[in-house]
Amino acid sequence: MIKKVLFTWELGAGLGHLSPIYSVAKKFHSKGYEIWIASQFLDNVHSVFTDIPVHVIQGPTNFNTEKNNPIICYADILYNVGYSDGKELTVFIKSWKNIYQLVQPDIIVHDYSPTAMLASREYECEKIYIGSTFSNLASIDIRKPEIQTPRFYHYLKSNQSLENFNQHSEVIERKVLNNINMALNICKIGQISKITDIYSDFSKILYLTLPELDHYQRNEYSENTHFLVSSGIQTSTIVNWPDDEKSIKVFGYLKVKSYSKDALVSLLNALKDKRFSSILYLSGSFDINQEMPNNIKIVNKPINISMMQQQADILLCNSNLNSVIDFLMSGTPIGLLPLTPEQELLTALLESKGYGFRLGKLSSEVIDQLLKAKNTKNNALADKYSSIDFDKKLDELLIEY
Amino acid sequence: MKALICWEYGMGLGHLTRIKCLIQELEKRNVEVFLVTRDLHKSKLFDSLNVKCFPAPTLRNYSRGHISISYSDMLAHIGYSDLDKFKTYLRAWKNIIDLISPNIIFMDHSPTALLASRESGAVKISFGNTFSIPSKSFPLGLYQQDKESEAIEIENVLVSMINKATSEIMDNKREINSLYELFEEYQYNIFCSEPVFDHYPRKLDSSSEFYIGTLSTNMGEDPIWPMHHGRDKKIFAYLKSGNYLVEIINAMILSDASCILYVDGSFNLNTHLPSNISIVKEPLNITGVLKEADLFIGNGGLNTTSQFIKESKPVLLWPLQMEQSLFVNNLINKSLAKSIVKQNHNFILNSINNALDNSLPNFTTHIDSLSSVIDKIIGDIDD
Repeated sequence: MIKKVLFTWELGAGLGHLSPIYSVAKKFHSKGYEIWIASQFLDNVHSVFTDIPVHVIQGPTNFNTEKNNPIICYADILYNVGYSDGKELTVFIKSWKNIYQLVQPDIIVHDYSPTAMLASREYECEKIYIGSTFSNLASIDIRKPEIQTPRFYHYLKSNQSLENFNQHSEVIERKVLNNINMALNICKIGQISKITDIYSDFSKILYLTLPELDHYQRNEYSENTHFLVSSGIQTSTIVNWPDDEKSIKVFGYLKVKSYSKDALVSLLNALKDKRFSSILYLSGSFDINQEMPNNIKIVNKPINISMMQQQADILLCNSNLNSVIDFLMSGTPIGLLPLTPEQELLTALLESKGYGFRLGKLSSEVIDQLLKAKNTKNNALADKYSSIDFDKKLDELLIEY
Repeated sequence: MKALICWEYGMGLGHLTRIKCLIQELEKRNVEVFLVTRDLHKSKLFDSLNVKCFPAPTLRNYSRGHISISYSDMLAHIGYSDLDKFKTYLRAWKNIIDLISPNIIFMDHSPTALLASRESGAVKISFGNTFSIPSKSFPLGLYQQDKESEAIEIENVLVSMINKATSEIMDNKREINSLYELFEEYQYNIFCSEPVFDHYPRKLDSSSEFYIGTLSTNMGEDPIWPMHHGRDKKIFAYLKSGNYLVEIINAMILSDASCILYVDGSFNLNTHLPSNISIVKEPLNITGVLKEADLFIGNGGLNTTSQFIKESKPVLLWPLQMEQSLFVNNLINKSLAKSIVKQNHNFILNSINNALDNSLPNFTTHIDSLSSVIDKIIGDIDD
């Protein structure tokens, strides 16, 4: 009987999720497992899983909830993806349960998948977590009993009191916990006493980051927790640096739709004026209607990061974890433009440790900050980790399967 | 016996209503029912049933504002034009169908699911409105008559792409020469409509094709009409959210009738509404609405529109997409509805006033019942 491993990916966006899933799946495939993936997005699965067979199914993700609730604590994220309605949450937990019943996996590997985790609580099999430290609340240090999930205090507005901020968080946390327990009850799954219990059911936790970059800077970890750096997917697309080979090389990996067209044009003009040799991978659709100067190349598909990592003087990104780690390993200064709570937390951490710096906004001011940063190469993490063979470590961690 | 119901494309309560009726009929006959559905969150409406629900793999690359010239053009714009992407969705459908291994598959507007089920031994039945199964033609479902050659080219490209995908994924590599051949996989066609409302001209094969009318089931609360001392008339509107609603809402307010508007989708109106109109966010019990409303305003969804017409109540329609436009034009040609598309509130108000003063003639047609059709199909399978 061929054993099956099922990967679940419910929330979060980008290749940063599929790429580590692929790395772990490849290991299981080499051990003779059949690979299944229940994924929220199907579009890129086969462009990533090019050399191993994969059985793909549509994962249940609630795309249709009203997302008006401002995110100031972790519970808000859950609230905005269907946990605001106990009946809807029930549908999604049931649907995950149905998938487990049909696929009958021997191992479930959860990426950012809280509902899939809840649904698997009483499904008997090995459960492994892979992903970022942000999307797993295991072992986080919440000292006050009334606090259920991490609070994102950087979103505290100048006209808002801390009391009001915390009150909002507590209300949402209570609603989310109630809805979870209502749904679990209908699905005949044991209830949980706090939201962090969602993340209490793993035989192994594989954080695909470095301990120094833990979003919540946990004081301690359970024995089954390990840190790994995923080698990721290296596309073969190589882009040559434009213009003058000797000028400062800027590599930008930025999500476009989050910026106004004006801000993007302003950045392009600034890069043009300074004659920086720039390659910008702009993810998303954009229309800037202007001719590109010779020193800027814009690409809209993933390019070979290894080459960029070796050659770029500066990285410009949204504080997406994988890009940050890649460039930290070569000591490249990173200009950060966070968009999400996860990216905000990482940016604050990187700044506090001197590994990166927050850019005010996507404009010409960015360039002056980049120039200052060019000479601040910080090799601390590269020196500490570059000799570790993470691929071998992953082999060792999966040896029992 | 295991039955699988697939719903891949389309939107609105019409799909959910008829799927709920079908699940009930199947459960009555002790059939185990699986549903692979788009808009999984809406299956909370089935919480009293034993159906096992899964999300549908659905290409969602809609280019807003695109007006399809044919059925193939519509599929191409949904995402069929990207071979790699299409293959992934085809595989995802094949995987879920193989896992469930049903004896019968009912498909509501589910072309990819139909293709993916090619190697399943299940009996395949189309179940939905008439739009999703165009009558036999080449190019299939030509919506703009002056663009026939363009439509032929698009269909040829699509057919060759479908053949390429199936040759890579399926053991059964049979090629199709036209898109309609895909629909010939269906052993039965159940049209939840009536001849007068059919989107295309067609003649049925009475042994395997059936009109069963629109299906309704009580899925919401009874309507609570606004208490209002104005005009003694009631208007019900069921409309998809969008900026165009402002013109309709203004006309409803000025009509001085008692009005309920059900908006499908998130909609924030930053203004205080007068006492003659209430906006609801959950579906209402349509039987209760039908009993009391004097006029319906909609987008041209088949179910609610046809139910009002059959009650001889006037309807005003603002179609938003191709299926609705086709349906609305058909109704206008038969003098069964009036279009208010892209009109301002003054025009809409005039249309409301005229419509409330005129009722529609009665009409009757013969249709089969869902129950009798299911009995026949299950009987055929047992034989």
